[in-house]
Amino acid sequence: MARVRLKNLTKHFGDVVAVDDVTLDIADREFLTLLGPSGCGKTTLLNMIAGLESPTVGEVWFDDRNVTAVAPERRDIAMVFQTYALYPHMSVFDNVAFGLKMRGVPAEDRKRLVLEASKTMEIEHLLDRKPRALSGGQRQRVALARAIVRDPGVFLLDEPLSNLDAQLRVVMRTELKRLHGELDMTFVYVTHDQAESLILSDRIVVMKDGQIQQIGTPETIYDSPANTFVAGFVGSPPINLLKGTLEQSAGGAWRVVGKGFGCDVAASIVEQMETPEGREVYLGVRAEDIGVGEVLAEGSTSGKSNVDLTDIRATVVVREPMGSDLYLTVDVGGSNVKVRTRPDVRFDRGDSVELSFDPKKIHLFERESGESLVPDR
Amino acid sequence: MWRRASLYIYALVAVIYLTLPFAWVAAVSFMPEREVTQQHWWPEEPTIGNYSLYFDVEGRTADVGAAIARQFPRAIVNSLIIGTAVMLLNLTCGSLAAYALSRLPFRGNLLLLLFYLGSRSVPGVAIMIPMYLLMRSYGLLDTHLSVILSHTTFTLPFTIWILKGYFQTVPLDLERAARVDGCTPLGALLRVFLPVTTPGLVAVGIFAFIASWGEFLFALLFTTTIASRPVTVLASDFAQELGVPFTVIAAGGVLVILLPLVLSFIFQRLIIQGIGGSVTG
Repeated sequence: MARVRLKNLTKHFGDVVAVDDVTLDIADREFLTLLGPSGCGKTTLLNMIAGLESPTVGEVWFDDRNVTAVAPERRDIAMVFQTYALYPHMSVFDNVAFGLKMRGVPAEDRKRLVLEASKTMEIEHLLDRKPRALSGGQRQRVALARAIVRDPGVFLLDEPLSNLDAQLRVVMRTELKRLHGELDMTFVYVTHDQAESLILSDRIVVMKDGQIQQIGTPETIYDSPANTFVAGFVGSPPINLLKGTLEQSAGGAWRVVGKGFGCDVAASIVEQMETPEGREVYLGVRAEDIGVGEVLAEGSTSGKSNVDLTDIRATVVVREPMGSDLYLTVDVGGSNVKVRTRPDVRFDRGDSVELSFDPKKIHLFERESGESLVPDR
Repeated sequence: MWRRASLYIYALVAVIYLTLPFAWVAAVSFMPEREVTQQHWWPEEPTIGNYSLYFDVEGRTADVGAAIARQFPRAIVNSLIIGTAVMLLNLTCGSLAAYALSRLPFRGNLLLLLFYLGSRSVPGVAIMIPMYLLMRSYGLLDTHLSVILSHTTFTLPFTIWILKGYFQTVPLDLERAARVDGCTPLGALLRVFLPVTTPGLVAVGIFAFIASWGEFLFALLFTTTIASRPVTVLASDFAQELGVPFTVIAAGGVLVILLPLVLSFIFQRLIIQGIGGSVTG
């Protein structure tokens, strides 16, 4: 059990700033995910929490203890690596027991603890084997057993699922969630897989170029992205971003108008801006928040009735059936827009359709800075 | 099918080419002297008489070459001392240097490595005289140490080069895992890094030993008496003494080659792993 606090952590590698002034408070027993593309500094940040890298500037605190200068072996942590990093010259039992041995745990207790951890990870039948005789999934389980056996305060995981095949990844993801529920540990998890982060985390920290872009619950990150980067990185398929300009109609209602589309904007959003008229924005709309219908007549659509009426004409470019869903890529005024709809929708390549954006679900971003113009939902 | 067959034929030719000379020397070493002149390929009346001369079991001091042969056991011990020391020096200095070159980023890293390698390309003859003068001025002539030092200078660059490449295949995460598991940096090196790199260390150790065992030029230059002369130098004395039977020389050849051969067989698997393999976590 430990609360982890990072204070103004910065790490330079030569001229490269890998982590740039990160301040973060991770609650005891929280499952916190560091999410970002490769090279965003998330692993460096994790290594600094582990003590494997020393920060150029800043401090790491575990509870009320400043551990910035404390060597990794003296921090109460366990870590699971992307490559598993099992000791190839030791049996599975010795791999799991190694950390206990290094900490002077007597042989008998060691055996008991290793058996307990092996039971949790369901690897009791593998204890005599060498790592090279294990499959990827089994290695992962051994790596997890090696980490949990010491009952550390902080559990660090560096992309632990990225070397597994897709099916196994889903299984191990569930396993990790179960583990977090069972163990009294603070989990810090690094991944570039946004789906993993949404499923597993209590909170997500989205990073880019060494800086934190947004911190929030999975719901906040998904529903109220702070900027176009977060909006584009979290969610699959990525959010649709369309260039547009804010305009006020004769009746006083606000709309975003761009090439080939127009979309109503709630007055509550516009009211917060100083000079909304003519402001250049990105309109963000997720694939599942777009209704698609047949073109019946000028100005009217069939399809989803719960979506406010808009007048967006589009042509289907690609049809991708996914079993439970159907993805359509449609052309709106020269831009591709992804739409998620029911699998029984029959539109195919070349068909003309009408789209409707749900005004309650749209996102607006400042064109120049990419920052969100919509308050948190 | 043909591909496989031609591979086997190639392997067979290579094996014959490499082993036939040695097999013939070994066969001759068990022949009585007259069988050699009869151009036998295989001893018809095998004898160990040629070997007994080396170990002076029958007191055959009057035989031609006996004086040299009786010094063989001592010379083998000298070679063993020199070879083992060269091996240990290579392993300690080589592994530390290779570890630094493969793990610790520092300015001039590559340049240093190229310098090591470059020093390997200088022919021994070119530095023979300066090295002799050096050894003389330090009073090291006719000592094991002079030969050990000279052999280490030309085996170490190769050792560092091979080990650096091998060490780089060890995932960094292995040592990091060891640190998180409670090892100090030195503990991680001793408990995790060195055990997983054993094949590489064994391979370069054996190579250094064999290179030292077979080296002739510097050993000849620096040693004068049996107190320090290794077996390769002693064996050359046969060439200077007239009328030493070829069978006796052949027995000496077998004795010289035996130890490296046995070592290679014992550590065969590790040597192959160390040269061709890599470490994965």
